[in-house]
Amino acid sequence: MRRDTGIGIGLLVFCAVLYWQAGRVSAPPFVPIGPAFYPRAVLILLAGLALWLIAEDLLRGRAAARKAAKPAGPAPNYRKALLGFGLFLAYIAGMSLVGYPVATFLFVLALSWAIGPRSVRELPKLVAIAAATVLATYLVFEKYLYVFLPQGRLF
Amino acid sequence: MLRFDRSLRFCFLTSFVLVAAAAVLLCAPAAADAAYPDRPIKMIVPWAAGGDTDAIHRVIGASMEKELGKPVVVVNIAGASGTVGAREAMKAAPDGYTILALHDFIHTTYYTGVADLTYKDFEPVALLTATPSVLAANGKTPWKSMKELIDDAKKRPEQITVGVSLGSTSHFFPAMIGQAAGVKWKYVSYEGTAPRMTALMGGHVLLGETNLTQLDKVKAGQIKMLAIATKARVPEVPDMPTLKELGMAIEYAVNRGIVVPKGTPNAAVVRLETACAKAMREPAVVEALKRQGTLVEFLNRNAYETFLQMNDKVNAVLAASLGYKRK
Amino acid sequence: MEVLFTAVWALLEPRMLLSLCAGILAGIVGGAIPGITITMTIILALPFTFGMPSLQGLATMIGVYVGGSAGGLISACLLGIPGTPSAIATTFDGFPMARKGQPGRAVWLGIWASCLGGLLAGIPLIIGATQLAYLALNFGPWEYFSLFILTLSIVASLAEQSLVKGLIASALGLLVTSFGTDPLMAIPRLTFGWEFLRMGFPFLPILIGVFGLSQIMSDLEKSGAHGGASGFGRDADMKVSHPAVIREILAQPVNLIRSTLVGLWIGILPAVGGSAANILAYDQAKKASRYPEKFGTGVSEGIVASESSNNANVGGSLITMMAFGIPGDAVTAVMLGALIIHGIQPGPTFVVSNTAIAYGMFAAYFLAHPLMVILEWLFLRFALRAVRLPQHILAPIVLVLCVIGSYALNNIIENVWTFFIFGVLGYLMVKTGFPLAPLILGVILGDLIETNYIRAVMTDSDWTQFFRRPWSGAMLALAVLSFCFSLRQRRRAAKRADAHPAAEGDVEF
Repeated sequence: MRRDTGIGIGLLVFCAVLYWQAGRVSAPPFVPIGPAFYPRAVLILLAGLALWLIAEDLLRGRAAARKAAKPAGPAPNYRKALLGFGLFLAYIAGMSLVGYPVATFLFVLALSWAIGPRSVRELPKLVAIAAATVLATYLVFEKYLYVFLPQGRLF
Repeated sequence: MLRFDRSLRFCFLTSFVLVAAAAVLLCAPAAADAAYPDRPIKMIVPWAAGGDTDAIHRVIGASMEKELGKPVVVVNIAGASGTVGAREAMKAAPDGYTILALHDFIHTTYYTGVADLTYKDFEPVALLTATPSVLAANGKTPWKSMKELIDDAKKRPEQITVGVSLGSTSHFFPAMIGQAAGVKWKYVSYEGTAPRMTALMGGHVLLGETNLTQLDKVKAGQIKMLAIATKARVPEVPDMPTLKELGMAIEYAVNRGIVVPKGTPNAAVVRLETACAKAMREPAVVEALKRQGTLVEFLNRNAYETFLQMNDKVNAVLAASLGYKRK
Repeated sequence: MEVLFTAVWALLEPRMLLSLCAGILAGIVGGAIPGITITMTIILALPFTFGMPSLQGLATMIGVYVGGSAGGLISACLLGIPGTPSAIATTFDGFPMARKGQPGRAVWLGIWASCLGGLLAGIPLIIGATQLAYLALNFGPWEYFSLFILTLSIVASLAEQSLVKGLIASALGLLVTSFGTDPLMAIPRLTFGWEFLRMGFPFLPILIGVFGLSQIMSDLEKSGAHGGASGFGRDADMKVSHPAVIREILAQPVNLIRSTLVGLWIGILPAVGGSAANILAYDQAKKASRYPEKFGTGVSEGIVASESSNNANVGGSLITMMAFGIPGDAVTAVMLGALIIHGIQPGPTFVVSNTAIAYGMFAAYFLAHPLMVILEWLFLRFALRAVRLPQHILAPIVLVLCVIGSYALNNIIENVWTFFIFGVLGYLMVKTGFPLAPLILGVILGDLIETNYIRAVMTDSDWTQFFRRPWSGAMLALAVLSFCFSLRQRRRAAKRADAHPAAEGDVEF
């Protein structure tokens, strides 16, 4: 299946689910137009556009489709990006568990190790940078500007 | 590579300086006594920065700091008519380091079904201020008095527009007047004071709730104040009648106070209450509030508790009579 | 005039000057950190101003405002992440220009354009033109609705290769704002019974997620297996000839003045905000250009339009705040609060009755611009050192700052999740050829369109009012024209591209 057609179909399903969910509100007093009106109007618009996308994709020649999809530059390093997203996900999930300082230290260290040259000689430097990031942000935001950073449940 | 090394060395240097500084800073408070409060107190203002609640509580918070010896840091958590911030305060640890700036929305949002929070979810600290409501009209409207307005409104029911934050105090106030005078308005939603005032000045709505802060616009002819909901006339505008004189038994003001999450230690509540009491006696605070069209209305925590109970009942009856139903 | 000179003289006192500079510097730093907006910086600076005399406190805040409006361009140009919502359009051309080896030119075009635009927009402040604000009162819900539709029509020019993908992106943006509670009665909708969705998605984490997280991840994916350098080659030149840059800006006087006027007008209108101004000005520059297809690849007009408009926007907001005592955006709202704490209530008679304060504020606004240029120069030496760090060190630190920025908005962790979700969405959109700018435009406009539409209908159930009210009707007609004009430009560009198939631009934003 073509990619854009797939996206179009996905969007249609998405619209249908949300359209159903948008109806599950009660109309408030005093307002002539209920809270379901706006999302539904946008959803209908979006569904129409999704159909347009599918039509455009199907009508386009196969060659043109291939040309449009050609990757630019060096081969993308998806593993790195995925690793980045994964570590970041772990970071936010972990933050409510161990708190901002510990989570941030581990995240900065892990990410800079994972996407960097991974040489053991560099490790002390990375540790220092992670510690400095935590301390600097913690001091500036929590102590000086009173932005109360997340606390963990464990500490 | 040379440049990278220089950046890195720079990084190193900064980090060492920071580590040293941190060591000094983090060790210092450890030696201090653990009496409340030993760190800054977070005051949740559940409305956007710059609004009435924000301005009023910032003034008071800054003054409380003098008594408590630790900063009172205002944190604005706006959304859903104040209930997002209120819910956040309710969930916070009841250790006295999170306090909530409250006003009548806690009652009105409950009875309009916006939220399921009530005043009972909090521990009262003190009632601080009351801001009397004024009914104002656009400057170019033909009405010279309340009577002319009511007569006109009787002729064309549900046609005169009123700008309101739906379900909040600015909605309840004109609704009460309408009920007392036997007329019906057409409500248009303008969330918050600022957009409501602009619309009123531009004539996109004809009426709106306001307070004495807006006197300047009366002098400029942009709006006119028709009546005030106080017991007696106010010295700032001696020719503005009260609603009582006009035969409507309405006294209305937005009441603001401070509450803490349920379960906050008694010692902390008492300390906060004292700080509030001192702040409200400070002449500079009273003066700043007066310019906000706001009166000091201090009640200690026990009296505030009674006040909240009474106010809740009043709003329940009001909401029912205005046609709101809690689902 | 004389009053103004007296006011400038008063500000040159060391204590005043120091506060102003401190404010500007705080604004620049806050603006440059993605996720820390001008509003937050002002709120954070507020407690420090309590102890100061009123004018000194206000000068500090105006400094933050001016500095912040110009600070956002640094991360926009160097990192591809708009430091503040008012620097969104600066990324479109600033970042490509920087990546092409001219970071110095990109940044300095932005700084000088900010300075010139801001100073131009200050002229109405002196010639007593707080009257300008009265024009804004003519804008009722109909006019706002039509203005936002006009703004939305820009999407045709922001969409890249595929028009339909651009439209889908903007529709998604419009939809995003309807999650959570509805703007009128705060009734939860599209929540699936889930508390997280009930909070809705705030704009700021979306913005830095879509631009920041997805940009960093795209960079990671492009770097080789052995940790690449940062975005810039080692020889990337920060040195610029300032006279040349200024000449380059002055060589486009129409663009400069047009963008300034757009920024000024949007600033005067309460409740529109700087995020719309820079995109509108950018689009106008593109429409007027003889080579619109080059926009987005690093042309100077794009940077100048965006940056001159966002500082002009500051001037406009100050006009409205002083004329009515009504804040036009969150920043002026905090400033208003500060005025009140100092015992001053701005309003129609403010300038007359508080001449010293009012002209002191004008003077601070004027002085802040040249000072901003000097302080940016100092700050850049530091900022550049930071962005020259290798990617594996810079990326985690930028991400941590984004997290703090999202979190500090409301002090709740849910905002960080929003940042993450929209980072993933932005990344997937880039990968599948959907442009990001229309999505952001949709998010900016969604609530505004809905609220003003419903407000208009609540005031008058006759919907032909949208066409019959002169301003409103004119703007709707302009929206159609603007859309068609962009379509024509697209078709022409496509033809030209067919003729010279070799020339292909970047497809990043």
